[in-house]
Order: sequence, then structure tokens, then C-alpha cells
Amino acid sequence: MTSNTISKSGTRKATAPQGIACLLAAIVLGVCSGSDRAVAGPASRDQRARIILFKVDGLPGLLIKAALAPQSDAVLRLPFPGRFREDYRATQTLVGREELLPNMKEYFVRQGVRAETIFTGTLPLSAPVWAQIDSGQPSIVKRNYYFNRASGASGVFLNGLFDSAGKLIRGSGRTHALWELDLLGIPILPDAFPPERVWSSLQPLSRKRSAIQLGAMGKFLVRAGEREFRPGAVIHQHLSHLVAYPDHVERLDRSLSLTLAKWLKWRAEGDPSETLDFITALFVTIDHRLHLESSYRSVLHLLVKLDDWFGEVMGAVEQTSRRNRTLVAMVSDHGMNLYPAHVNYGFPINPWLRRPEFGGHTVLSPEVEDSDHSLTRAIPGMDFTRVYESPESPYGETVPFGSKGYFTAFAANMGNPRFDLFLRHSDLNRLHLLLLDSLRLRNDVEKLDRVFGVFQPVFQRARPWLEADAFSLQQAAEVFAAWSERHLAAGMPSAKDAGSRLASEARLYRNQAAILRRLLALPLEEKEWRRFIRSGFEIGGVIPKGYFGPPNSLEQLANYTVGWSRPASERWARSSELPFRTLNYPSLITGYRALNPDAYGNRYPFNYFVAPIPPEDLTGWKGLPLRQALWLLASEDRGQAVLLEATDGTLWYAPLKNRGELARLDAAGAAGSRDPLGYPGRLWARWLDPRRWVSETARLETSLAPVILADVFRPNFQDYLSGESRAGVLMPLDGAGRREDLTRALRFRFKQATPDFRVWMRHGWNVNTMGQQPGGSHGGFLPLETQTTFMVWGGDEMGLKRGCKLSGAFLTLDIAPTLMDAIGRLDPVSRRIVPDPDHPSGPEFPPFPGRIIPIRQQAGTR
Amino acid sequence: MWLRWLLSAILAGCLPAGWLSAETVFQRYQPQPLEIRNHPLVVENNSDRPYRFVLSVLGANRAEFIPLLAVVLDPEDSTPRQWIAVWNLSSSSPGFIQRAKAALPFPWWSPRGTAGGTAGPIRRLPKPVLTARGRKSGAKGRFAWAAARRVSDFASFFSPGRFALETYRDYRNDLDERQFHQLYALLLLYEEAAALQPSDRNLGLAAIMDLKYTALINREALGIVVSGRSEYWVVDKFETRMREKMGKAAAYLHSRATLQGLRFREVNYGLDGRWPLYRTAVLSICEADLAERPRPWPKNNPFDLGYNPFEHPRVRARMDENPEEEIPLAYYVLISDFKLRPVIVLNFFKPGNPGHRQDTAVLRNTAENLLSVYGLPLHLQALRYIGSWSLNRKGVTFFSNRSISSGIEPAKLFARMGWHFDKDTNGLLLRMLDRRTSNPLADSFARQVDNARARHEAITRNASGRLGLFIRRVYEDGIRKRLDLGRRSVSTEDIARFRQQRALDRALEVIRGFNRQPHLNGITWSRLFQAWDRLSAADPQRSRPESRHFLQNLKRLYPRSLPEGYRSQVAGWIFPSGPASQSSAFPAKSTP
Repeated sequence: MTSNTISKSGTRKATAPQGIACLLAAIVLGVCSGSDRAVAGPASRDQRARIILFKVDGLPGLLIKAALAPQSDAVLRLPFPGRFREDYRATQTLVGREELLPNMKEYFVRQGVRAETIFTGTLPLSAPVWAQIDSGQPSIVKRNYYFNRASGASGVFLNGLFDSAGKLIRGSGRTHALWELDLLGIPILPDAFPPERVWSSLQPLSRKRSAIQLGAMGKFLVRAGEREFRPGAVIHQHLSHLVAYPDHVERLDRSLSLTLAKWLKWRAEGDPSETLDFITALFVTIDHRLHLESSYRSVLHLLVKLDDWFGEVMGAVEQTSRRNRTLVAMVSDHGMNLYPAHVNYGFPINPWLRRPEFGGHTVLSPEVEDSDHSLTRAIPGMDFTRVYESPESPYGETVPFGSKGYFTAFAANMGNPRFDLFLRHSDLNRLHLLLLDSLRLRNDVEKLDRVFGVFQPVFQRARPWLEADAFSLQQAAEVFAAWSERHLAAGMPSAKDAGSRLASEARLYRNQAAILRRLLALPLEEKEWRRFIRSGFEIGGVIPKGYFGPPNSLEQLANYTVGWSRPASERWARSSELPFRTLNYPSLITGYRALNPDAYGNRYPFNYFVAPIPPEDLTGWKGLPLRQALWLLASEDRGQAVLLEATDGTLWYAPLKNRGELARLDAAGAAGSRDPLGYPGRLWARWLDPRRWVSETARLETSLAPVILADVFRPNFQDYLSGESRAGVLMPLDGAGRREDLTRALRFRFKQATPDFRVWMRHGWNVNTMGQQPGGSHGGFLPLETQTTFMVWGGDEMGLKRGCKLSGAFLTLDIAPTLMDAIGRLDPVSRRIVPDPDHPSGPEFPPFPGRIIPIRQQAGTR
Repeated sequence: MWLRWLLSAILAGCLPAGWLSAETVFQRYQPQPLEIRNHPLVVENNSDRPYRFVLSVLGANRAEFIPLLAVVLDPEDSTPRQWIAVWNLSSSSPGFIQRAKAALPFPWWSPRGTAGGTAGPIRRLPKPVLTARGRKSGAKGRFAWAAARRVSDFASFFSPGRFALETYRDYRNDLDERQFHQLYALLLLYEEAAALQPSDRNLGLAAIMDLKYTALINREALGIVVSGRSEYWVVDKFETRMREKMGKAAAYLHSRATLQGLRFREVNYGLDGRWPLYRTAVLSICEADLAERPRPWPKNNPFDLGYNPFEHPRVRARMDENPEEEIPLAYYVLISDFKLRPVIVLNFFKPGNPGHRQDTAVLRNTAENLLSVYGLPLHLQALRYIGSWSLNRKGVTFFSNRSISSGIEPAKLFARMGWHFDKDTNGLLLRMLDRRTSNPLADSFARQVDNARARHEAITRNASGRLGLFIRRVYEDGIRKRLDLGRRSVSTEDIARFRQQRALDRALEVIRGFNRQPHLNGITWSRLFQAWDRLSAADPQRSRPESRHFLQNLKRLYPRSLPEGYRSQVAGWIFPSGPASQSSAFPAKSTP
């Protein structure tokens, strides 16, 4: 059930076995997680404001605008606007309502306030954007998958089932995505309130599994949606469902709305103080359905249901005594690029990477490939990462002394038009190849000497970073182990959970460090080296599996070692040659032409290749001090560009003729080149604030590209590791080592999640290892994907604007400070959350970098 | 058996060695102009005012009008119950011989009328596929069959009679499934044609949805327990799933073809300028695409070609002849009961292959029926279940009992209408689609063409005669049932009362729609209160649950969520004892 609730994959379409699994999971987890029915606080009448966050995954801002005003110009930005209006009229007839969304229209359009244009402040994928909305901080979670280059560990940030299982295994409901924030001491909005005053549904960032929701889901499924348990009616409903095949994800959302409404009413009836201050519920049907099919009539029908669910909750809010001190916000994390007439084709990235012409990589896959036909994945959401060997791998079982399990690539993808690629360090590949061939030739003295001639410089070049990594792995392992022990000793569920996660990481790091140390101990003196080789060794004892090393530089990516250039019999015949086969990944990707075009007739599936530029490449730069520089290369020779971010956060963008120009780059830019993103020339080579970019380019298809790229490539974690660490979210380090050691260990850990490069696909192509998602997709730069939703309604005492549409461009980064400001919990000077007097042990929030969206009538009035 | 092999051999021989070029065959896009012809139907009754119905016929408007679907509707009724009877003109009921054949425990390889022989003229009125009188008749029939089967399960010894029953049931279920998909495709086409040619006399959108819903609930035995009220969400779910399946299969085939170095092209069926209704695909190969080193041909591939196209001598010869030519290999329909796997219909270099797959399905069904008669021990049953589940999960198309009629029947319909391809290609496609129809109860395409002509003629020949009589009977049965008249004849007063009742039904539908809303109202207040006026006149005591629920809901919304102009009026309804009794869940505040 939980996988249904928060999963993104189109392959997770609810099926009959899934329904059963949902039911079982709901019952088991509902029972096992114990009651989190909060004990009411002091029974004093509470005058504080309350927030209800109605989260809708994947609700496109443009779509909701069009549905709220079908005659407006908003419709014109959708594909097939005429068909949208036709289907709107048809839906009116079929559901028997002239107003399809009466609740949203009343509360947000007539009585509320909404941002006309709000964009995702980071990559439009669920885990990154929800993390940003919930924390109000720049992205720490950069994709829907976690991957660690040092240990090879991976995980899914949206696997609700595993997150729920964590409750059973580790005793805490903390989700994988939240763990990333917790490690850096970044709290999320619910942490600003006493735990007993918070109610959260199942979602990517939550601290505890909601027993109430799980129990209610189980009950809802058992009762087949009947509100009361009348056996006859329940049996009738179940039998009817066998004919009508209800969508389980939709049913779970329906159950959530009923639970929320009931919970609010129960609070209203049973407890006059209505002690809940922060309620957050995530509805996932829209995203789930749009990924699979996106015809307008079906989408509008879903919106009608969403409005009903919202109405259910608002009906309950209207009955509570805190109604006038309630703020209700509907937010979405990203939009959806939907094109109802066409199918989005899947690009099989992992089989592609296994091909010799694309590297012959053995790949780590987040889940089983072709999951619809897999026997081991009977229930969607219940799967594990697995390694797919390439028959062409030069390290696999097919080569002498090779072995299974040496994966050299991990593509983080999940049915959307983009992926992050992690590649093993090119020099490590060379070392691995040379060691394998040394073993093969250990009795051929002449050839072994030639191998050594190549091995020595490669090893010497790699030694500095290998040593640094071995040291960092060992140090991080020790720190995490010590920290883990302290947490485990504390005994609290959340501390136990933290302890177990830390211990697991420590174990992996320790193992990798030990192998790396053995590698570093290889002799560099020729005789000793030969003796060592002849003595024989296990390749697994010196080359750690799952260890990728640091990201490859642009030079290395352009000359990436993927194997041998000649067959074994022809190698080492001469001493001067370098026998490695290399690939130029930037050219390979941007020049790749697929045999079959997408539904729009385009044969180039890859759109943009983006990678960081090392500072040493910008030797001629004399402008503002830089925080990062990115190189963007478009496919089909559509040009290339450079994006610079200054330390003050402003952005500078200019097209390039070639990468060689980087060394001569100066503040004047390189005029006259083709612009791959299609910006007007007046924006080239100018320092602009990110919001200025957004407003200047709001009507362009790639409006948000520089803002997204800057955020997603920026190592934001470093900002939270400098200076004083914010205690409170995780237990402080006292007694478990030095703070600097912890900071260093964490810095090393977060650096390991850096991919080598990122690729965005053309409209019409998805990248999906597991199954097929023919409907809409998101993750790119198009307005349908990047425009989200932020609509607010406040009770009479909240002092919010009425019937107002806010112009200007806002970002999801602004939502958290806006909400806290609206309830009077934001310090305007420090831009931090004012601590709750009832929650003195609450975490200290970092200042919010986002702006306050002017939803209040006037500052200071409440 | 020998006949089947002979046919395959003949068919293989008939295929031109060079076959048609992919460019000439598959790039043509010929959506056929569809037309809805509405004929007035005046039917006498016991009053001085006759019934005025419309016979609405959907057909392809070519040189000769190809009738496809006929519906009789009441144009004065705007509710979903506007339709009275529906005919799928291409489909006929099997005769005695066909039924007898279907009961014989023998695997039949082809549909009725494959070997020629046309349906003769029809003197009686053809039986409609759905009537307003028996909205659940299909479901009831299925339920009866299921019950009969349960009873027959008690016979645990070998019984030829039971074997025959099971075999007949399988063929019957397959026929029902085929007829359902034919009807559904026709309703989709009607909806599209009606959107392009709007007319007051067309079947309304709500009525089309009701027809689809009725067809859907009649598809299952448990349809008898489903509410008779039209549920749009059921139709929406079904169509969403249909589109999703086709999209997924297209994406799957596309990605596998790309990996394997084969060309993929979608062939979509839909009306000009509208979104596709059905998706199919063509797989082809071109010498120019081939990699230097041939890729290994995976044993488990989704193409179901039965050979490796990179090594097939005839394919190789064609490629050597013209390296730039795109050589079609196979044609697939993309919807079936398989999870993702496309269904091969036309295999250009191994023409017998799709038919063999169909034969294995028939053999499996026959074997299963035989086994079910004998009864297997538990451990073998478990083994069989696991084996069957694994094969289905893997999408193995040999010996699979998954139905493919959801893709075959629409493809046959479009090919019959001459959609998309030239005449020869469509002719070949139709023969192959027949080969994928191993059911003696089902009609071959040739017979479907004859059926359509003959049944259309039979319906229209004497519209006010037999048809009028039949429609009157169905309509008046509805009146009797609605007014609880028993079996007596319908009088002028009854008709007037019935019309009032229909108006009340419409009002009730509006009130129910209002009551279903969890909070605020999306129905215009004027329409809602008109409906309430009608309902309250019929139910002055507020004894109906709809009335009570309506007033409760109004009370909940009063006064904040009601427009000011209606508040005093509403107050009078919900507080009949006067202003003193006024209290509401919400404090009275003005609407902003």
C-alpha cells in the first residue's frame, strides 16, 4: 500500500495482487506501528493558528489554472486547447456539474489567494521538491535514488513499502529521504511543532508512519469504501469491485481524505482545544495516473475527485472551532509534461549501457528490469537493487580471473525524461584491467614487464585520490560506528533507527577501506611487483566491488576507459602502445541517433548533456568569484553553453563555440555562438538573480533551466556542514568523537552522491529501466513540468488576501517561509522559525533563503 | 489438421516473394469518413400522440454505405436512459450447427463462414445486443452458466457431457468477449463521429456512456450485483486502462525494437484530426540499420517472429537486393489480456506463425477442459497453477489462454472498413485476423460484412412495422415497470404519467448529484432548485431519502455557501417552523 501511495513508477499500477498486498501491509503496519494517536496537550484553549498542507503530487500548475478557468488564456498553454475545452464540456455533462471544481474555486479563487506562477526551485522530481518544500532549504536530495560512489549502496527515496518496513525492522518510521536531511541537521516544517500537535500522512519525508492512516486504509479496503460496517453492503461492494476494477491508488487517496476529515471532526468533537497545529497529507493519484495515461477527460475526472477529497477536508475544517485560525494550502511538487495523443517511448538505458559500443558496463539496477514480466517482482514496490552483468564486460566472468559483481555504471532513472549517470573512475578501470591481465600473463615475463610499464604511471596517478578515499572511508567508518553506538545506547526508536543506519554505513565503509588499503599496498618497484603478481592474488581482495572512486573529470569522460582495444592474443606485443579502448561520452551521448524515432519523429533521444567544469579549466576568468561552473552540450549539434554561478547566487549564462573557449572565457562571454537553450541575446553574459531569470524568460520553453541546473549541481550540503552544527534533529555528537571528524565524515558521505554527469532527454522519450510509462513525465525544463501549484485559504482571523491572484514568479523554496510567516512563526530579521514555547527541545531551524510570497493582507496584521 | 497445414502452405505461397514495400503499404493514412444517419421512427400507441423515436445508424460513408451500429433512441429524453435498443449489425447469433460444433470436444481452428457461404436475407427482426428492458440480461446469462458449471463440478467422474459443456462454455465466453469488444469499438466510433457531426437526434454523450457501462457490467457474471445506475467512473477506468495498455505495449515494442536494430512504426486508428482510438504497430528491418557485428537474437523476445530476421534467407535476400528498403516483418495489435506483450497478427515471412500460436491456445483450452473433467491431485493442481501463472507472467504466447480479442476485433472492424491500408493489405490482414479467431461460434470477416448488410436491411426494411412493434414493446415494458402497471396495456394517461415520471427522474438525478458532493455545490443553483421544486411537489412529506439528504446538505451549507438571493427561500425549506429554529453548523457570515 505504501508503495502505491508514494511510488512514481508507472509499473506500479495497482493490480489485484497489489491490492491484497496493500491490504495486508495496511493491517500489519497499522497493528505493528502501535498507536500514534497523540495524547492531547494541556487542555487550555489554544489561540494559535493552524496549518493544513494539502499536498498533491504532480499536479501541473498550468492544468489546474485551465481547469479553474476553462475560458481563460491558461488553456492556450496546454497542448490541444480546443480538445481540452471540448472534454471540459463533456465532463460537465458526465458528472452532472456545471462547476467541476466548486471547492477549489470557492476557497482558493473567490476566498483565497494563489500564486499565478510558481516554479520548482530544483529538479522537478518528487523527492527533491518535497524535500525543498518541507524544509524550505535548497536541495539536499538531488534525485529519486540514493547512490554512494564509495560503497555502491543504493536506495529509493520513494519506496514507501521499505520505509514502512523500517518501522518493523528499526522501530522508527523515518523515511530514507528524511534521513538525508537529518544527517545535516536540517529539520522539516513539522519539526517546528510539538510532535503531539502534528499529523502527517505517508509521504517521502516523514518521521513516523501514521498508524491512523494505515489503520484507516486497512479498514477502508476491508470495507470496500463503505463508511459503516454493514456486512451485506460490504460484500456487495467487494463483488462490484470485481467487475469495475477500481484503482487502488485512487481508493487509498479517497481513504486518506476521509481519514483526515474524520480526524479533524474527531478532534473537534472530542477535544475542544483541537490541538493539532500542523496537518500534512499527500495525495498521489494525479501523478500516478498521469504517468500512465493523460487524456483530458480522464484527467478532468480525476480533478473532480481531487476536488471532492479537498471538499471533504474543508467540510470538516468548517465544523472545527479553530476554523478562523486555520490556513489551508494546496501545493504540488512539480507539473507533468502531458501530450495526450502521443505515447512517451521508453529508452532502455541499462541495456544500452551494457552494449559494447556504449561501454559494455555491468550495471547496478535500482530494480528488476522489465518488471512487468519478472517472476520475482510479483508485487510492485517489493524489489531490491540487482546487478546486471554485461557479456561484454572486461571484468566479468567471461575473462580470465574476472568475477561477477563488478558494476561500473549506475543510471539513476525512474520513468522520466532524464537520468544521472555514475561511472566508475576511468583510472580505476585501467587499474582493474591491468591487474586482470597481469594475472593472466604472470608467467610471461616479457609481457608482464610491459604491463608494469603501463601499470606504474596509472597507479601513481590514482594513488593520491585512492589514499584520500581510503583514509576518508576509514575515518567515516569510525565516526559513524561511534555515533551509531551512542544512538543505539539511547534506546529511543528514532535513535535506534539512526544507530542502525549509521552502523550499516560504517560496516560498508570499513570493508571498502580495508580493500583499498590492500590495493595501495601494491608494490611500485618492478621486481617486487612481479613477485607479488606471480604469487597470485584474488582480484576481489584489491579492487572493491561497488567502489567507484571520485567523479570523472570532463577530460576523463571524453577519454573514458571501457576495456581493451585489442583481443588478449594481440595485446602487449609492443611496449609503446596504450592498449585501452576509450569512449568519448559527451560526444557519444549528444551524437547518438536512435533507430526508431519518438512519437514526434525525433531520432535523437538525448537532449542535453550537463557536467561540472573543474575550476582549473576557467583559467582566464577574471569576473566575480565563482561557486560553480557547468558545461551544457546539446545534441544534434545544436550548440553548447556555459553556466556560471557566483558565490552570491547570481547566474551568468553564455553560449560557447567549443569547450576550448572555456580557458579564455571572460565576463564578456563568447558572442555569436548558437544558444542550445534558445534565450534572447540580451540575457547572454549578464549576471542575473535566479528570479530575474525566471521572470525574464517566463514564456520560454526552457525558462527555468539555469535555475534548476544551478541548484541540482550545487553541493548544498556544504553550507550545512560549516560553522556550528544544528543539534536536535539527530542526537549531538557529545561523547562520540570530535565535531570536526563528524563534519569531515559527513562531507565525504554526501560527496559520494555526486554523479559524473546528468542527461536530459527529448520530449517524447522516457528513461526507464523497469517498465514502461507511456503517459506524461516530468524532470525536464518545460513549463508544464516546472510550474507547480500554490493556493492558500485562511480563516477570518488569518488576515490573508481574498480572491487574489499574485503575479510574479515564485519558487517552491518560498513556500515554507510563507507558511510560517502567515502563522506568525517567522522571525523577519533572522528569517528563522520562532521556537514554539511548548516545544523547547525542538530543533533550531536554519534561516530560510526563500522569499515570502505576499499572501497576507498586510504585514503585521493577523 | 492436414487442412490447417495446407491452408498455411497455400497462404505462404500466395504471399508475393517480394511482398509490398513498407513505404507503399504502411505510410498511407486513410481514416474513413464515418457518418451517422438518423431516421425518424414514428410508432403508434394507444394515445392520439404516437411515439417519436429515432433510428440512428453509424456507418462508413464510402461508395457504398457500410452500416455498423444501429441504435433506437428517444430524442425527447436527455437522460442517460435515452437509448432503447442497440444492434451490432456485423454480429449474428450462432445457429444450431455452430452451437453443436462448439459443444464437440474438438479444437476448431477457424470461425464461422471462413470457407465461404454468405448469410442469407433475414426475414425476422435481428436480435439486439442490448435493450433497455434487459440491462443486465448478459450478466444474468453468465451467472446462470457459472451456476450450471458449479453444479456440474459435483460430477467428479469422467463425463463426456461435462466435457462438452466446458468446451461450449469456453467458445461461448470467447464469442461474448469478441462481441463486447466489437460493440465497444463501435460505441467509441459513434462517440467520435457524434463529436464531429453534432445533432440533437444523435445519441447523447451521457447515453453513450450508459451504453458503455451497460456493456461493461454485462461482461461479467457478477455484473448482476453492480448498481444499475450508470457509473461514469467505471467507463472512465476501463478506457483509461485500455489506453494505458496500448501505450505500454507500444513503448515496450518500440524499446525492444530499438535495442534489437529493428524498425518500429505505430499505425493508429482514429478519426481524422482526433486522437487515436486504437494503436497497432508494424515491425520492419532495413539492411542500412544493421550493425557490423550482428547482435545475438534473444530467445525470449517480444516479436514472436519464429525466426531470426537477421539470418532468415528470404529476408537476407531482400536486404541484399535493396539495402535501403524497409522490409516489413510483422504487424501487431497492441491490446490484449497480456500485460505488455503485443499480439502478432501478420507475419510476412512466416505466415503460419500467428495461426500456430492460436492453435496452441485452442489445444491448451481443450486439454484444460479434459483435465478438469478428470480432476488432478492437489500437488499436480498446485504445479499446474504455478506453471500457468509463470507462463502468463512471462507473457509466453504459445499455449497461453489469455484473450486477444480486445485487439483482434477492433483491428478486424477497421480492416473491414478499408481503414489505413490498401485493399490487398486489408484483405490479407482480414484473413490473418480470421486465423486468430478459432471459434466456430464467431463470424468470419466475410460473414460480418454480409451480416451488416442483411441486418441493416432487415431493420430498416419495415421500420414502422416489426421494428416499431418491438420498440413499442420494449418502451412500454419500461413504462409498465416504472409505473408498476403489471401486464396491462398502456393508456394515454399512463404515457402522460410516465413522461412526468421521467421528468421527476431527471430531477432526482440532479438532487442525487448534489447529495453526492461532499461539501460545496458544483451544480448551478437555478437548475438545482428547479429540480427541487419538482421533487418537493412529488414528495411534499419529504419522505424520500433524497429529499431528506438534500435538506440536510442545504442546512450544512446555509447560509455561508449559498448565494444571497436564495437564502430566504432556502431558510423556508430547512427551517419550516420559522426563524427561531434557525441554527447551522456554520456561523452566519456574508459570502465574500
